[in-house]
Amino acid sequence: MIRLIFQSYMDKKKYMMMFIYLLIIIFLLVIMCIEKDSDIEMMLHKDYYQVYYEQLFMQIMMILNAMFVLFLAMDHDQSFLKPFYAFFNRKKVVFYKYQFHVFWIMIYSFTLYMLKTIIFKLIIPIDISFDMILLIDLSLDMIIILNLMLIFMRSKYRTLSVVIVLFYILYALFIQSDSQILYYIFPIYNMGKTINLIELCYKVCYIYLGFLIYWLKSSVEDV
Amino acid sequence: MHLIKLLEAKKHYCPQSFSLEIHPCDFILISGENGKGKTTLLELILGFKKPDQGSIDKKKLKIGYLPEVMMLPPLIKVSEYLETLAKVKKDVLSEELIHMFDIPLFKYIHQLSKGNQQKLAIISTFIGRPDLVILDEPLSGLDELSIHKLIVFLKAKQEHGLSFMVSTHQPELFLELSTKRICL
Repeated sequence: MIRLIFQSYMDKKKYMMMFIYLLIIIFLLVIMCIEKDSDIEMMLHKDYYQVYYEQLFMQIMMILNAMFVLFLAMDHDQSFLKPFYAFFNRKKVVFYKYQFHVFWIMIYSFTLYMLKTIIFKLIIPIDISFDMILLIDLSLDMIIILNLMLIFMRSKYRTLSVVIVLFYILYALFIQSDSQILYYIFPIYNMGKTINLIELCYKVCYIYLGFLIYWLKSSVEDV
Repeated sequence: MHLIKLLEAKKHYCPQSFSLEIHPCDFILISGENGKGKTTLLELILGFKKPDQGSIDKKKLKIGYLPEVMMLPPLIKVSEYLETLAKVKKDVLSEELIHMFDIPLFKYIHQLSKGNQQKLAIISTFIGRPDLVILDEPLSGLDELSIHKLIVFLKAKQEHGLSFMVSTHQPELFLELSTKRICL
């Protein structure tokens, strides 16, 4: 089913958009790595540059991720799904469609991580490590944004879904300190990114709840 | 024993309510002017819309649905699409249907003419052995020979116990098959 959704979803325009998006990512990563400081200086202050690049990469990733989810979720109301809704149980189709979205997010996160690794290796003279757990955390953030967007996308609060993403991008750009309460309500708003296992578990539960709401909502609302 | 029963089902934006029963072997023909509620009736039956008034009693059915404008995946070959669809719907491809409509299997879907795309959409509707087939303007883009073949095919399927619901602006072509006619 996912294969069928993929075949129906992808057309020339989407492939072109993905290609352009990939070029933008590569361009941003290269720009980010071009540093005025000399190689020796970077080698001397390795710890400083490690933190510097890590934070910069995180900030860029958060913005790019949000944009990607927006791109993915905006086109959710595909008319090619209607014959599938008619033939299969609607819940089944919605479930596979959600899996398709999550699959894209995984592919995207992995690609971004690989690109980052290659570009950093080629351009920066020192080794910059980036914790895998941060990547998992960012992927979970993307799924939470996806949930929020999918839940609100079809309702009368449609604009709210875009506002959530815009606020997330602005938050990533301008807000340095974290609000604990905001974080509990929307666990995507954590710029400090001090990740622990409980936090990841909380996010997984949050995602599961969001998925259930979306799933039940989608299976009863008008298409 | 009905497959679907509509009792005074109505959407607020539609000028009228619908009461209807669909039984096995039924061939229901829907015709009428634009804006009279043909699509709304189909959407209520398909479960895409919930009625604001009245009720719909529906058995658990596999419905083959051909929308007025079918969105087919453009960048894969016809054979690949049909094979994937058959696999997902747990069915085997009907050679008879493919040969009857004579569509080029090894072309990409975006390379097909409008008529051939419509034929492909019709074939895909019948994959999976549906209990009820709903066709919205099935004749659009088809030539005379294909229309004739389609009608012969529908007749054979109806004799095998399949139920149909067809919305069309050319009802005269289906009069021979129809068991009920709804003029909106």
